[in-house]
Amino acid sequence: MAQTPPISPRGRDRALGMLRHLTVGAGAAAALATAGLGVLAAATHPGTTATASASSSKSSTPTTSGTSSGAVQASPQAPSSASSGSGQATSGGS
Amino acid sequence: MAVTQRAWRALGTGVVVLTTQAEGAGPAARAVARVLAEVDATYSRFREDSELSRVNRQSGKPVRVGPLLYRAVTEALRASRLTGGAVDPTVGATLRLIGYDKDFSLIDQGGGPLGLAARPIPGWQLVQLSPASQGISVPRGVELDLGSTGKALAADLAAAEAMAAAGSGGVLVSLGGDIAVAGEPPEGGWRVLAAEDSAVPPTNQGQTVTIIAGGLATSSITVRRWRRGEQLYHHILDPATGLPVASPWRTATVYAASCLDANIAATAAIVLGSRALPWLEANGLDARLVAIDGSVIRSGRWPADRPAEPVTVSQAGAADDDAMEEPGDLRR
Repeated sequence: MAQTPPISPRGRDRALGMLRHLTVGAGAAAALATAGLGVLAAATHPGTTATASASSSKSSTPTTSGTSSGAVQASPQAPSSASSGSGQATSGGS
Repeated sequence: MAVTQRAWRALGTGVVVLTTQAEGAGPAARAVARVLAEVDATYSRFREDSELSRVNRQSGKPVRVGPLLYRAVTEALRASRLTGGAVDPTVGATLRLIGYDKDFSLIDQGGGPLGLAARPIPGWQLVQLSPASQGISVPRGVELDLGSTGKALAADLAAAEAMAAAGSGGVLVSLGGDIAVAGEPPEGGWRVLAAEDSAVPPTNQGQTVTIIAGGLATSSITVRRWRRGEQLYHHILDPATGLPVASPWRTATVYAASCLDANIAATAAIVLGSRALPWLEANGLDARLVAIDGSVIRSGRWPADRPAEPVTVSQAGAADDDAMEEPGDLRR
């Protein structure tokens, strides 16, 4: 059986250097691919998107909180039977 | 604490603005009127010059829009996603086909039968948003209608603007019964009558609850109805058939963290029918459902009805429209 010749210290350093470059290159390529796929998905996936906040616009209309989450947001407080309170309004169909 | 009220009509419905600080009433009402004017110009389906009409006319290609319409459509699609498509903005063409093609006050109530067959609406998944270009694209022939979520979003936006304009205290904004509150509530909270028709006075008999934040909205098939031939139509459509939904519920009222979310849930409850209660419970929502026979079912922490009680609320300046400048311009 043929014997593999021993590697010199210089050869070993060169091999390690190449491995380091390969690792860094593969990492960078993976990061770029992830970012690219993310942009592609955001641009093409129908009906879903990051919210467009009115606060970033020239519009005079302000944003409101709690309207862009991933679930219908229940109120932290429960409605109470009115035994007190002020102001009167009607909620109904229109 | 005296509460000041301003009331007028806009967006084809009644607008009520309550403020806890009398000096804030005028600025708050003007701020609300400004928001509603912007909303009307942006996403009214009945204005040829609105941005929404432009998107509908140019179906089949992307249309760059302003931030308000982009947000309104984004929220409408969120409503669709959260309700499994029970609330869907791609009903525009279908609403037109069943006769709701103009402001409700102008609808032909005595027209002949329409003879429509059941046909699913196009579906919200077809709407494309491009965040980078702030563009909206709908397939050819698809028309958007933001009537359901759009009004509730407007109430939330108007309440925030009104609060900023009032400067202190608290405000309540009601757009046709879709209610948003902001700031410091009056002592004991805001009193709201849970009714089927938002046009009834809040002093009418019925269940009154108090709320201190967020929003409360009602959807009902007892209002906005019209007849064509022998067929009675209403404005809440079943996405599966494109026809007015046949629901076991005639009215749904929901209290949520915002008026928009309350409206989403109320409309979804009507459309979901027998699946509404499990869905409301799963989302932890406080709701009051009125069945077709008039019986009331409650969900979450919604309180039981109490016997009618005398109203002792003081309202200063009720229906005082002196400070209003814009309301006449908002009719559609």
